[in-house]
Amino acid sequence: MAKRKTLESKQKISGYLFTLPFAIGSLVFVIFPMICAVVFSFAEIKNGNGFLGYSYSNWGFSNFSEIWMETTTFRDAVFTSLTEMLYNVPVVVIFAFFIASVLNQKFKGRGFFRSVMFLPVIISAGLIVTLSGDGLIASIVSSGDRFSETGSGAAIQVTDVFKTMLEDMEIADWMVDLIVNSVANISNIVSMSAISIVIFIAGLQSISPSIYEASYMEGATRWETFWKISLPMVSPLILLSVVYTIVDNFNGSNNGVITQIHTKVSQVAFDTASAMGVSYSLIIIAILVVVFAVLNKVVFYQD
Amino acid sequence: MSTLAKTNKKFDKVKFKKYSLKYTISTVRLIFLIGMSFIVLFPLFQKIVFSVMTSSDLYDATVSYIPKHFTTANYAAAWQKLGGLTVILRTLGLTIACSLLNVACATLVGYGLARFKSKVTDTLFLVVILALVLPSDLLFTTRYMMMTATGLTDTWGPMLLFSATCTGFKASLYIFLMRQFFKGQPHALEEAAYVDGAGPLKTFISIMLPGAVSMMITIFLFSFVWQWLDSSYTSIFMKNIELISTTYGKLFTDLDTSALSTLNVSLTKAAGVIIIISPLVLLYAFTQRYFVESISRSGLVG
Repeated sequence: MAKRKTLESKQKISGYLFTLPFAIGSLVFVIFPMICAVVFSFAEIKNGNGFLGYSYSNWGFSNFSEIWMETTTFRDAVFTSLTEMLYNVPVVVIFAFFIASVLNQKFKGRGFFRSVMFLPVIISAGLIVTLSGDGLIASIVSSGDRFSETGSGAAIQVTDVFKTMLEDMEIADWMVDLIVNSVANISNIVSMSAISIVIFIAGLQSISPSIYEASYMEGATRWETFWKISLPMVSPLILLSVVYTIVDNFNGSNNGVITQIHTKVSQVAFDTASAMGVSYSLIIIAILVVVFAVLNKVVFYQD
Repeated sequence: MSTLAKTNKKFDKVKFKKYSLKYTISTVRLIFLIGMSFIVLFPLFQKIVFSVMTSSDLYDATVSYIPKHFTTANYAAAWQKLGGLTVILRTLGLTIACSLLNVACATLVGYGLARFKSKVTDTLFLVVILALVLPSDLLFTTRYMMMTATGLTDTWGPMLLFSATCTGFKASLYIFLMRQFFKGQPHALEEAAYVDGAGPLKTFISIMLPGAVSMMITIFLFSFVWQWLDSSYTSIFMKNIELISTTYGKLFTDLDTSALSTLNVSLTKAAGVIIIISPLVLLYAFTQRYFVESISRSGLVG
């Protein structure tokens, strides 16, 4: 019995050793900066010789009132990114799920189409976003390049015809707007979906084919197996994909709020930057908690 | 005789219906996928075409995709503006160093979090999620102060430290993926190794690591891409060191400000984009088959 215990404690120690790099790193570079950011947001920071070479004075809520009450740029940016998120997340998740189900079927050239659909992970990140306006892929509709003069002109006409067609069908206005905007915005949606497509393909592949076989034997149609098997089985991944898309939307380098905080940091306005960061993080965490709580009830867990 | 013909006819009708449906579905699927691929590939194609054009081709209405005056001058200009071979090699060095450190750290920590359950590792996993969710700009303030206080700004130090501890850009995602991967692996092999007297480290290196190669390649790919294209970290911690992320701004400017030069700038920019992403596309071409394989084996579902 005593020997077993030593093995267990040995295991515990090696567990600590394996996780040591991140344990130290997160204390120094995540937890400590996080606490500091909260403290800084209540102070006025100037060059001086206090903690880490700065001096702190005027403790209070002045930074928060500055960014929320006195100026409107930060407030507007937060509002914009919230509305964008509200519209982007469902569209991206549904689109990614649809593409993943198509790419999961067996057909010739599947490998090619798969690698093309994952390409946005590479060509719509970081610098490329700045270099081509909204990302390489988005430049297909919005670039000021010569090709788009004829190209986007045609696109607008097509969407106009499409819009009148939908309106004639007497579909609700908000739905028409949603569909038309998604079509016009397709390049952005494709580039945001890449990671979710990978997640969903992985999920669809992990469903055992015997479940489908059994249900076909019982006379189920494809439509029924989609709703009763595929969808519930990948629903934990829908949660993952929703959370990832929300975080990606909020923390992307072309998000208006992030660029504002980033400018403040490079202008050495650490107090305002911290207040912005803290407010924004609280909003993100609140939204994620709500989304997780709601979706977690709908998600089907196999065991 | 007549009944046989009848059944034959009926059979043909069923067969026809079945096959026509099948072909309709696959045709629609093909058209749809070609459309989607077009959206992804066309901008790339467009940049490639632009990058070998001269500005007179842009004015020429008869030129749309095939340039009349093929030139490599744009590449030469973009190459020079980006800083030439030294800057490219320096960025490559930093990117490879950071990616290798990220992979090493993520693999160790992911294994630790997946296999050794205790209160400490559970809390650490929550920190991983927290680091994933928090906007990195929130942490930049203190990190910047710490780095200036220790005199590490404008050296490779900050980036290497962040990578070695997996606290850099999206790095906790790598730990998350690794943990999920190791959680999906069977215990039996490790138990056998323990019974034979191997320690945890030896078990990890000789039993678990060989199976994790595809996941490690995937994480290397992600890490390489995001580090190579990163402008937020390098613009704060390494702003005086010439890297692609600090020199690419020069692609937007030209000393000559005539109308013709704005066209030239857009051509140079196209060439610059192609130079910047070509190593990534090359890397992707070699590693993409590990991509889905590794994630589908990571047991994300369970």
